[in-house]
Amino acid sequence: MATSDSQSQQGATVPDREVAKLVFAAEVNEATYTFKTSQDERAPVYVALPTGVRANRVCVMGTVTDVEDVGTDDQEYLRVRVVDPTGTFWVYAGQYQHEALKKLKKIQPPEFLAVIGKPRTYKTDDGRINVSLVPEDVGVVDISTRDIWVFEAARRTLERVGSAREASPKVAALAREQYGHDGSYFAHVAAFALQNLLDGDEAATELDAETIEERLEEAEAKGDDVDGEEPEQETLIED
Amino acid sequence: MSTLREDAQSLHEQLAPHLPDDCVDEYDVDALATLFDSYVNTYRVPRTQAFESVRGHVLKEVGIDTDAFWAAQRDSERGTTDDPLPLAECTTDNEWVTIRAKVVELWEPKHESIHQVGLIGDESGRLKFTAWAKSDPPDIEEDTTYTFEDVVVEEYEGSYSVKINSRSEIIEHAHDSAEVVTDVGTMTTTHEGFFVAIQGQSGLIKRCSASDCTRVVTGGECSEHGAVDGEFDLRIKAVIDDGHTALECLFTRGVTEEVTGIDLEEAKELAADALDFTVVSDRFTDLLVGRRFTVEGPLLGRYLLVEEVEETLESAFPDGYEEAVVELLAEHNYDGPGLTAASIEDLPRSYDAHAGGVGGD
Repeated sequence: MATSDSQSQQGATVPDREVAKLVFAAEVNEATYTFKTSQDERAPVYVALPTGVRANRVCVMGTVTDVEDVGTDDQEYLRVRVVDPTGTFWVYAGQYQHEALKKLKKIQPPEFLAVIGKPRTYKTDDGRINVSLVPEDVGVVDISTRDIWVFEAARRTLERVGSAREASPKVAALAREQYGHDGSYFAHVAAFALQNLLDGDEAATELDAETIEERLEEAEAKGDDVDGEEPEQETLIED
Repeated sequence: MSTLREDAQSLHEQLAPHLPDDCVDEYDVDALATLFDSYVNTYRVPRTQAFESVRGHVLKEVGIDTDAFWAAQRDSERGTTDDPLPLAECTTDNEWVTIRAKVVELWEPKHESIHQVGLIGDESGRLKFTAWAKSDPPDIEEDTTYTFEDVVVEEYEGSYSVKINSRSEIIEHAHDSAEVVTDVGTMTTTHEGFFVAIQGQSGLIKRCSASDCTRVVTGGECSEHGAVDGEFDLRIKAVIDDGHTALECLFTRGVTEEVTGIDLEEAKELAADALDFTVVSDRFTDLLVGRRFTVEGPLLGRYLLVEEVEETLESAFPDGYEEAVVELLAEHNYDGPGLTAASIEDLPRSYDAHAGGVGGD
């Protein structure tokens, strides 16, 4: 086939696409340290995940509990809360995320959503660093896909806890230095999410709409809500 | 890990039957142990490579017939002339196998040490073969089926090939015999992951209408044939990502229709209603992003050409997640408080992953 031949020849010069890491909210929200591996302005920005692996892109899923326009009168800027068993993903979409913005506007919470996007850090007014996600694409999914995601994210988290020290020693050392711990705690988080998945399995049949609402409110109350968009300065480390 | 002395002993066992009489004393266990010591401690050869290095050194110094030596080292052999091993199963480095395959194409040898090189295939797949000149192998011809008896599988960076050596027997089969390989298959790859992106030139596209040209027409032009009308087609260039590998996957029309439930006619109507091709690709994105699929097909350059596609649903966990969760936690030796904590805040802030064995070794 002529088309695929020409593509594979070009392939040599096209950089490999960054893998979308499967990460729970509890971990991504702690990934406040960003770095680049080259001076190039267009070089990819990574966050150091506390489990010791770098991430330029993530694939996350959860329940949308709120979509709010926090932009100005003439410029939409949506803030979307997506809740997984471990916390809240903060997803922000503006004019440059046109496709995602279009879809997010149509969402009527609660709904299960997949978000493929880039983690970004910003400093709040009180000097804290928060992590948000800039969506490349989003898709409404059903509960079975969301459940599989919880399972797969737990699997990848356990793998990172077990192997990052050998597989990516530099990032693992960096993460330990930046966060003051080795991220092994996320093995507990993964197990917690899995237990939550099993509980949900059992409860799924008897859960009525009211309890879902209650649970969502509880989950929401845990994530605290800060605005601000001052991008964090990236640090450079050699690859 | 074994000691250098033990390595010397096992190497001696391998070498002894092949040593000419006048060399037996020169390469006894003590001599080999000294060689090991010199390689590792004086010349700093990494411990893991010492065995192969010393063995290579002795084979060369003594001038042992390496084909005979390797033939004697094989511990197993798969496939027989009556029941040859499918090429798709030639996946163990250094294994001796007997296979039956048709020569798909011969390539120009790039070096005089290579007698013939090319591609052979059977129903299960294709493999590269190399016949080295020093083994003095017989000539083989394209489009002819042979039984290759006693060839050796080689692995290089994850790709397999077979090597024809002086111990190999090559049996030619007449073109009308029952042994002839008629269909040569392709190796397929299976990949499971989340559908994370649709790339450009997906959805409703036009292909150049010139014969033998399948290029996608952009802005009414084919890059080879200039302005053309083109013919409508459906396809998806997707990225399916399992958290380790982001694999680009090409869905041609048939699998695109299957996975989206939208056929070419319907796609044309969608585009006509909107006066815009891109609505089709947008629609596909809406339908597919975030879902989990298992795809299967041959690899073409960077792309997996999807032949089979299936969504991973609860069917992957027919009895719920209990069993899979227990298995996953056992695999990582986890039995910590994450399973009983009422809230995530109650979890201890650390876990001795390596002592506890989470993913340890």
